[in-house]
Amino acid sequence: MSLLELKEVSYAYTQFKVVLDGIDLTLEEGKMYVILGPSGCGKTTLLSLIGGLDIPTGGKILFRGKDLNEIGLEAHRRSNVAFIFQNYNLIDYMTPAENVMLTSKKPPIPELVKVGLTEEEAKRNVLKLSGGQQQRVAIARALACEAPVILADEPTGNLDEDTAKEITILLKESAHQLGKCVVVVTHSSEIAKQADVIFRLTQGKVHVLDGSEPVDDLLDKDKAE
Amino acid sequence: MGIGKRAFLYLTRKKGKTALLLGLLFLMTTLALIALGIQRGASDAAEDLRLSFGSTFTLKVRYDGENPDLWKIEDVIVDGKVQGSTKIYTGPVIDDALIDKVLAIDGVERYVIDSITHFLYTEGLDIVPGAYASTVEEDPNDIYWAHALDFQVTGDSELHSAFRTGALEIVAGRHIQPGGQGEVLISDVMAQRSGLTVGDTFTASGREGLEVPDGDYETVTAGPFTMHIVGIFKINAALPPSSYLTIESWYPENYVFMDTSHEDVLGSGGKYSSATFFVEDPKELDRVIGEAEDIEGLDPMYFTIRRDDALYRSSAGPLQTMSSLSLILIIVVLLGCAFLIYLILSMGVKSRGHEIGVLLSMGVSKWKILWQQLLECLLVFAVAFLLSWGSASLLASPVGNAVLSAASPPQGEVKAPEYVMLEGFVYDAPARTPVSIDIPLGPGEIASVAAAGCAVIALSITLAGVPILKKKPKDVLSSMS
Repeated sequence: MSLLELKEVSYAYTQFKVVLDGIDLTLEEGKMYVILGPSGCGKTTLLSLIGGLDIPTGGKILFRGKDLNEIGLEAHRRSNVAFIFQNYNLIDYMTPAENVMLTSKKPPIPELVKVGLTEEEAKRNVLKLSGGQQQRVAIARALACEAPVILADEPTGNLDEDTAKEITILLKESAHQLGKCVVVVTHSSEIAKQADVIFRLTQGKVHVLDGSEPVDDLLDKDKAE
Repeated sequence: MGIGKRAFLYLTRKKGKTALLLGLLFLMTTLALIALGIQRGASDAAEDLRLSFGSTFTLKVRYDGENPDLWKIEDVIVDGKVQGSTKIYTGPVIDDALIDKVLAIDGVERYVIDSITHFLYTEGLDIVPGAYASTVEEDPNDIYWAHALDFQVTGDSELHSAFRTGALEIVAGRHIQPGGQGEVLISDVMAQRSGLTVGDTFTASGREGLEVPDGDYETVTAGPFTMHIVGIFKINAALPPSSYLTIESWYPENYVFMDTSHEDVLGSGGKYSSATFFVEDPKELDRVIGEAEDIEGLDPMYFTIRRDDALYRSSAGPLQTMSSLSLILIIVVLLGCAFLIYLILSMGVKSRGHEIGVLLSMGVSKWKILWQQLLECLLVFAVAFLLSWGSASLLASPVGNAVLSAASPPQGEVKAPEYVMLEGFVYDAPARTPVSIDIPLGPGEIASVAAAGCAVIALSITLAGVPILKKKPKDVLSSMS
């Protein structure tokens, strides 16, 4: 049984603006998936549907064979998925440790140390950390809750190259070493090249890339579109 | 992490917002507690006043001059000669039988007759001189008039309207009491002029010359009576100013009160022009008056019944003003502060859209998010409430009594809508509004403010939060990014 299955999933903002058109997709544990596509093509919308932040206008999404509507979107978000956002989305009046504790009862410091923060950094206010450090906190928070699915929307979008590489490694390790199903929406070639499977979303349809076309060319095409 | 911990972290990390909310809630709660305390204190004081004044009604003979059937004209004969004529009332009067019927009404405690006077010549009193003293040179007999006073007969001077209203007040000795024998009260002015004090005596007698035209002033018609001074009073009321010189017996300083021990000689014959009845429970006054009006023989053509709680009403006026003002303050505080709190809380909720979006993305339920914000406000309110309880307890009395002071007439000035009749003169009786009152903050006031505060907070948070929580989590996150 697949971890996540999208069957004929569609999403339309209005009658005339169909963003996703009958998407079929299967996602497994232990793999890192990357979704590419031009800006505005619906990548974030697709991630939102998988994560239970919104409801598809057509089709269904199954988690371990069960429809998300049956599971309940709140319960799905609470137990099955963890989000990592481009702008980190940490609670600004909490420390990194307290942010991790939002999703997990585990001691937070070891989780933060795993992603490269020191104990001292773990107790500072998050606004006093760099962008890279904040994103590490977000990853620690996502990993601590032990959700099988990690959904990352442009996780390196606000980071410098070196930090982006480190974050990419963390995400890959989450998939390969921790067995998570990691789904990343990105424009970054660094992340794309690390993916186990690359999807390209265009004109409402998802295509699995077979590697025949270089990732950089595809990203250039996306920028052009 | 639970709701409680998240709420605690927010309150302790966002100190500025917490302090602002704490300050506003403290202000609202303090004002509300003070206002409620003042209103309760004023109401209680007004009720105490009402009970302390008691309630009375006065039964009076109407003496309708327009009805000729009630009057007869009699000649005045002196030494066999008709010296003039006098009009004598022949209609119904208040007698012991009628008094007994009124006393039989359930709730009527007691009564007092305070309408009998006897004009007597005095010896041993240095009377404040008036019109008669100024005309002695022209008419030597006026010296007898200048030494004659109206003696107010009363079985219990404490119940006399002049003392009940506070127009006159005992400052030495005691009141005339039932069963007194030759007891009198005089004013402090006359006592000082005469060199008399409590325990001293003077003499009074009836004189023919004072009773009939061309009568002999040396002929004693009653007495002489030895009058024992048992009490001295001071005058709190003021006569209206007059451009004419007043006769001696009309000066309040020359008033004399005497007991009923000489009535068998001086005699009103058990017939009275007015009687004042005391009702045990002021709330029963209307019922008692209704029953009195139904008494056979108490015809409204010949008698009037007047409720006598006007002095209470005038004294209670400032208290009622205070009560009304505090009620207005309560409404203004509740509405004004409630609106302000709603604005601040709703701005706070909207500014936390980012936090709400993050929590929603983690699967925290909408109701838990709302409950967290409610809990935060309730925790701040609890602290504000405890602080305001202390501050209101300290401030309620000074503030309330300052309001009372502002609403009351200045000390020393007489001010009352009701007048007291004495010697045919009307004079203002001083209102007896208390100078200060207790302002209680009891369980009622505390519970009311606590409940109102919680209601305002709950409504504000709900109204502000529901529109955000109604959105899809994706839209909440989109709006904040």
